[in-house]
Amino acid sequence: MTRLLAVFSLLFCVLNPVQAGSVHIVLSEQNQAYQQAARNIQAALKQQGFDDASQISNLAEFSNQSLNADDLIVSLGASASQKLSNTYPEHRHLFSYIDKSALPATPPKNWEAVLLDQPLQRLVDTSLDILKQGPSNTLVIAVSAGNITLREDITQVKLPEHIKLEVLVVDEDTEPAKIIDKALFNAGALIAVRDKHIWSGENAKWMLYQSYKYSVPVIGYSKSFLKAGALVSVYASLAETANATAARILDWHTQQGKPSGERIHYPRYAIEYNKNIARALKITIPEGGQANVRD
Amino acid sequence: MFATKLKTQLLLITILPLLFTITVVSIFILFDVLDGIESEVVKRGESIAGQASVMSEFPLYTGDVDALQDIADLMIRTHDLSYIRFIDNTGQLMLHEHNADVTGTLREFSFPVYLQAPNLEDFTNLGSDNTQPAALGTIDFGFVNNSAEAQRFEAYTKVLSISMVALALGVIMVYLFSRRISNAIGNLVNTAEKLENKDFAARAKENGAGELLSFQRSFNAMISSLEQNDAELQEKISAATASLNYTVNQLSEKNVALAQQRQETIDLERSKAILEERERIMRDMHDGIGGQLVASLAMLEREQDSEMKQNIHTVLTECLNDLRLIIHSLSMQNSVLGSLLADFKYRTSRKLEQLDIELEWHVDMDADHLAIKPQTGLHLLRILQEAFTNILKHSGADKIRLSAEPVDDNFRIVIEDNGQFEPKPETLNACHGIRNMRSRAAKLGGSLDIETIGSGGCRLILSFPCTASP
Repeated sequence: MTRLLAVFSLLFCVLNPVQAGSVHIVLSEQNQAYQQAARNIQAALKQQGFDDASQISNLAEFSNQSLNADDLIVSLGASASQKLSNTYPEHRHLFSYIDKSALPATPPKNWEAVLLDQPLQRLVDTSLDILKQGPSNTLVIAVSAGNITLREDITQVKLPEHIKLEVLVVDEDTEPAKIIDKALFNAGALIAVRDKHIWSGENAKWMLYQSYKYSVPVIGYSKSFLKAGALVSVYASLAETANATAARILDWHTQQGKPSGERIHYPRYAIEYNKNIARALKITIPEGGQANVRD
Repeated sequence: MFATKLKTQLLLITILPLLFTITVVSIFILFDVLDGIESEVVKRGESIAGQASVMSEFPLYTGDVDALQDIADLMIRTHDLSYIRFIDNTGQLMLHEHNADVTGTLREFSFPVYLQAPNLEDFTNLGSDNTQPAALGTIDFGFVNNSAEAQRFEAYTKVLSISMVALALGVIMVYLFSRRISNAIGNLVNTAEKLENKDFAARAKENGAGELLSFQRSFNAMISSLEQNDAELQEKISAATASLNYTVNQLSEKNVALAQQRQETIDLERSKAILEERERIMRDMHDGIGGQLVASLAMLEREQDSEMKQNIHTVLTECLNDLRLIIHSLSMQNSVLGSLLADFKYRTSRKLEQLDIELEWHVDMDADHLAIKPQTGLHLLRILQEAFTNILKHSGADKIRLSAEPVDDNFRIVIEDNGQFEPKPETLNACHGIRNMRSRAAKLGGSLDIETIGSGGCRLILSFPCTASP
């Protein structure tokens, strides 16, 4: 569908003599991850028929650069998004490779975002297939007390009636692995969310350790969770993120800078199981549960 | 340096590198095995530490001493540890468990326990992994590894045994392989020693192989060449020696001939001097005494006949005859026995005719070839004269027989008469005339025998060597 739209947009651009401004891809950091992301976006653009050369620069080089009013600023990462939102509030912005919680607190006038994280509902829906196989119908989500955005998302989650959602709110000065014992004792699944206090560093290790200790499957949000010991992961690959970003750029170009209407865009995602963990937890992988890209 | 015998040198040359190689390889293997054993021990320690680390991470993280106690009991029971202790990341001892049943030399290990946090972000994973492991604490433990000691001892024994076997096999093989070479070279050396002692018949046994065999053959060919050269040299030396001996003999013979010639010359000179002196004496006697005797006889012829005149005439005549005999004997130069006897017969026959005595004369023809020196002739004439005088004076015989003939290497003259001869032994020995005859016969190198014949007569046998008259 997106490709069909892109083709039509391309035909429209060719027939329409009016052109949009330049595309500036700005990296939050000059490292391999952001450079690779920028190259992937350029490749996706080229693949989708957009031949205009986009300019790649890092945040330090791009600061205080004079731009045309119809230029598009594509910020990769939270730092660039935050900084450029404040520097060029009147320009059109596209934030990419960013978490929802990292979006600028005071966004510019015209912006859109392609997020790395998945809608919480997708993870919950995936966990429902797992809960069917276990004795417990309790879902556990641990979230730090300061993560307001995520806590609000949790409240928006839709669950069947027989499923119980237990939200464990962890203070900033509390180590989550030390207090999750009770919650895991009766849990059917543990959903990992993008919360750095809970799922990063040694806390993430011990959260996974405790889950495995209590035979509670973990639903992760990235492919890396599978290597770390999660049963299943719902994630958007970096290539799909680049494709989604390229699609937004192409849309901006075809619409001659007009907003599309939706600000938050999620890339196509995949669900992938760890067979070894499934075997250890004696869980049968649902049919069609293996990695396949989904809209 | 250490040995002079070829076999020993060969053995040393081959054995020492072999020994060195075996030693190096043995040491290398031994160290490798020991490293392997040590590696096993370390690996065991790391395995125990890994297990303890995995199990104790969360208790160390949470400070759960009860859980650590369970882990310690499990590790001690499972791995027969001597002790195990857990220390947190602040250095504080959390637990120390000791197993009193385990005694012996301890191998102690101390491993830090790190917490490697997973990176759950796909996007940031593209960059370098900058998550640093956090230290949770340390696990110390010790165990007695008797099996490692046993393995070490077994390794020593095996390596030593293998080295000894390899060395023994090496020595045997080196001996077997080098024996042929050493024997071949030893034969060459022995042959060379014999050659040094001029034994050119010696040959080296051609028992080598390859180049050594070629060398032995060349060596033998060289000896053959030397032998041939030596034989030729000896032949030349013999020929030169024979030539030299011939020359020396020739010179010696020439010296002898020269000496003989010189002696002959001296003898000739002496004979010439004697002859000249004899001729002078003979002339003086003939001219002096002979003339006086002839003059005395001529003067006596003019005197009247008387017995005294007759006696004096007889004496003077005998003196004259005797003088003639002496002169005759002195004048006999290059005379022979035949002519001497013929002259004696001529002188004696007239007197025998006057006395009417028959003379039977037999002289062998060989007497004409037997040379007689003047002195020898005088001795013979005196003996014959004394014999005939004795027959005429004392025998009363009317017949005398003389025979002369060679008998073997001697020449024998026999004078027989038919008179009366009764000699007495003391008379024969005391008689002056017979004693003179024996003396003259002895000077001739011969003998004189007198015997009585059957008819009563006397037989005188004079025997002298033919060589007595050179």
